[in-house]
Amino acid sequence: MKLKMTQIAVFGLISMSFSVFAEELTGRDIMLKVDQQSDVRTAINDTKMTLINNRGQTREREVMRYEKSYDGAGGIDKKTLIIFNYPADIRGTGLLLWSYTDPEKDDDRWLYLPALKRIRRIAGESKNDYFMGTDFTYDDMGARNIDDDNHTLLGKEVLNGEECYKIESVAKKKNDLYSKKISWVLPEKWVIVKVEFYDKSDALLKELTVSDVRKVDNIWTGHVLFMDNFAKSHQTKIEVRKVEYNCDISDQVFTQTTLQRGRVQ
Amino acid sequence: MKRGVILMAILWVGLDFLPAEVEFHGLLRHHSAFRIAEPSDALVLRNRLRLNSELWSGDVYGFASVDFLNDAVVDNQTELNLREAYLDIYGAWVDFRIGKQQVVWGKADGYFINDIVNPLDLSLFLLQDFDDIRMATTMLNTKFHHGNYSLELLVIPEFRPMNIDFEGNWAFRRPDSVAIPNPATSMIGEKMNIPMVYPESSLPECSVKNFEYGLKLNMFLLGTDISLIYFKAREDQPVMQKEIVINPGSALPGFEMRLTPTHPWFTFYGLNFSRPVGMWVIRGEGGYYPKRSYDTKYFTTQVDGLTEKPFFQSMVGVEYQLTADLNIAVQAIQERILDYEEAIVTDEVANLGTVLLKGSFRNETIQPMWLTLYHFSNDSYLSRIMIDWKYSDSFTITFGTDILGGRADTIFGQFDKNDNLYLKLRYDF
Repeated sequence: MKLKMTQIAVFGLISMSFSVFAEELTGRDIMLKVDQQSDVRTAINDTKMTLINNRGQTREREVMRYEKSYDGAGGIDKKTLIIFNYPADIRGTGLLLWSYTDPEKDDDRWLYLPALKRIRRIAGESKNDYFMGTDFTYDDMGARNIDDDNHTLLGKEVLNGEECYKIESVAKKKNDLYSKKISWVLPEKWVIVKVEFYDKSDALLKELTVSDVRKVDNIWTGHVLFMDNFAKSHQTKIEVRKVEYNCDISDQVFTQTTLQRGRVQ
Repeated sequence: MKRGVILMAILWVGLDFLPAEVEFHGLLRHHSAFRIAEPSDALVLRNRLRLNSELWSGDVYGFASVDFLNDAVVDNQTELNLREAYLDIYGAWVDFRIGKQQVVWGKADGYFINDIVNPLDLSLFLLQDFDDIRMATTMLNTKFHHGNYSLELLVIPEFRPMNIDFEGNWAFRRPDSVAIPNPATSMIGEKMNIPMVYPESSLPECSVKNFEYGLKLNMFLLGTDISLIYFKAREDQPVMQKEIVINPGSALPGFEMRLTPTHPWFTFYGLNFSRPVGMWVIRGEGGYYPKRSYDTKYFTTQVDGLTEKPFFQSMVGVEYQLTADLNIAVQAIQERILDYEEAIVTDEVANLGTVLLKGSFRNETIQPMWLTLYHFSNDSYLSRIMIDWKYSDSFTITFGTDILGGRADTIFGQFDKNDNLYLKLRYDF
């Protein structure tokens, strides 16, 4: 299993063009298609995040993200390192995530805060916390196992002039932040272009839209992600400035040693 | 120090000609604190300009940080202070960091058990940020790493003692006189008061025999982060060598007690661990000193009034995410002198507890915090309530209060009159 679906939603990864006629597909089949076409061994993203409050004031973050798929070797699905390069007061702040193929096993997470000069362990189950002031939760930022949710195909719907599959995903675990998510998937590109997140009372909590979908290294990649958090009247825009796939990344990058360095050579 | 700053400046300018990236940033911070009780005077009026520079070129990284510090309450003089200056060289299996640096080996919040590499600056007691309380030391820090294991080796040629003030608002208590048995009438148990004098500390010279060493083995095993620590160093906090001498300045034959600060060697063995369990994170520290010096109640002209005993400190803590915006961390700490003797002045056991409640609201722009350290053995405490408001990425306003209490001879109680309200303004650039 390579880099996964939620990550596609969040960081615009993937989906190779896969021309099939999929009238008989179920919701899970479609999500699996999206997942299966995400045949990326590694990825490096250079992104800019803009945080926008209800008065239109903005704060900016520049973030490097490194990911490597382990295909279940040693039970590990994927390792991710996220490092903040800007602004100065959080420069060097980093998050290391190891996710596992066993859906019952919590991720291992470490957070490094340069001001404390100390690596802190974060509870693996704290997936529902918002990440570094953004409108993305740790779970949104990481990988989500396709079988963490039950997927139902609701039908097809035209979005921005393109016909999309509309799929409802309901978390199997009761403690998930969202009661359900509704995703719009482009069938030709197998890219998720919109997700609605609903809270426990089935009210619309957040809406993610993915735009500027372009091929990078023959992989369809969303370059602009916009999360509108209705509950907090706050928005986060992620612009992917540069993305590389299937490049060599040493295993050493995904260790506490690199996390503490605050940068990758 | 000035020589160090100039050297760093030359190095930085020189490296500018190499194919390297250089960045400059810093902060400007104002910190004022006023006593709550009468006379409501200023306890701190401090302005700090910090300039940081970073340089990287391939596997080489350099960092230098300089503070310009003005404290209107202390002396109103502007000091120039090289906070940190080091060069990193990264390799496939070994990293080097050489220069003036901070090394954090502990896991406890607000307490120093295994975090003993750098001496502390307690000139404002615990009012400063921890980044400023820990004083950087010049050393060679070598880190061997492979997968889930790493081994850190420290060689520290420079000795820096703890910075403690004996004058001013945050002065540590130091008695002027002491009662000792009167040699003339000791048979009937009569005592006499003699003055206490405190000569300046003489620091160990910088030579190989005075180098301090540290080792830390880090592992990630079965979902648990574990560290084993060995440290051979000198006490940062002075041990007072007592000596009763005839006061040469006295017209009449008289005695005085001379307390000379010394920094004896100690050996330290430590263990850290942390592990998440569901929504909880459990962490702990333990530190064992086979030999530490303690004051005793008995001293004569022949005895220095010190005894050496093993000492053990431990902390067990849990952290829990109460809500998406609220986190609580609770710690139980115990300090114990082993093989205890009644003559020792310090209590055999000290039990402390800490509670840290931290919030993060409005996308981390409003961050309240409540930290309490309570010393159960002598009922003294420090309680801090503060709120950070991040007005923008560059500008942060902090408002808070420190409440200290307990008997006058306790660590927190000695500053009982220093309950204060404080304001910090910080501009990052």
